[in-house]
Amino acid sequence: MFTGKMPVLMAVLLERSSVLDRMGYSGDNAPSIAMEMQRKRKPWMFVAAVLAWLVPGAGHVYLGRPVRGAIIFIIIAATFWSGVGIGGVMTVDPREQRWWFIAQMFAGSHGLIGWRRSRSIDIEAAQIVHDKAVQKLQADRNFNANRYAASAAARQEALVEMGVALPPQVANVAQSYAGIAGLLNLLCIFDALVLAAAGVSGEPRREETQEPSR
Amino acid sequence: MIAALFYNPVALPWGLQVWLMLPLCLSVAVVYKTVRVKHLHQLPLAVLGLVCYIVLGLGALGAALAAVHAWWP
Repeated sequence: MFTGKMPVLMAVLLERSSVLDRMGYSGDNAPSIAMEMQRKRKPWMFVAAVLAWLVPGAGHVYLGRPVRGAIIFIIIAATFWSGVGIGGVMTVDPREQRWWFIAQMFAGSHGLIGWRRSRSIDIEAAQIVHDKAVQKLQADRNFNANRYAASAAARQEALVEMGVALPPQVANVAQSYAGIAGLLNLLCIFDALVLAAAGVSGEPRREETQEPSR
Repeated sequence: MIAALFYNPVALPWGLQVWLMLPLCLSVAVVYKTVRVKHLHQLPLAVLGLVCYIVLGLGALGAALAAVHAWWP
């Protein structure tokens, strides 16, 4: 899908837009992106995007920008795990906080690890809810056990019992941290995609980014 | 203790929540400017500028909302 003429076409389109100008890759004295792509080995857009998602910063490392990649990795990891440190294991909660969960998943491996941890807690909570439903059903034959087991309140009760339920004021801070870490990585994924589409590899040289003399 | 930190939520005092906005602003500024600056030696100054911009902007927005809240008929 990303082989053939598509990256070259995207590079030419980007060259004519203002995106690369702001990155320092166009201007009167800058080499043509399309020509440079033919000279250099072209980075693959798909690989850059997947790496950038999976390990924040890895897309930039792949594009020959290791220092930027390291900065991105450290900051996104620190932000995401600060959120989880504040809010605990249920900071990543696909059932109760769906929109924040989607944002958190953009943090790649960090989000996936957080999801894996919260799933194991969810299974424990479901077991507690099931046991309680059975107890209530034994006490009262007319008790609707299925409805109770499916309710969010029963799950919340179980999480409180386990000591992992997020109080609202903590949830705001924790989910903001983890979610914004994911959204920042989304920005980095787009940056890696644009750079790979343009065939840009490595840091821009100083002479490439100087303002043309007028 | 570290395992408990990443398992149980911590108790946050009410006043601390506002101050926790500052590291988040710093994170946003660092990542945004890391992908935007042409040369990495420009990064510290660019980050400082953006942090000031965000904090002052949010402060002004908060003051405006507080004023509306206080004097709304």
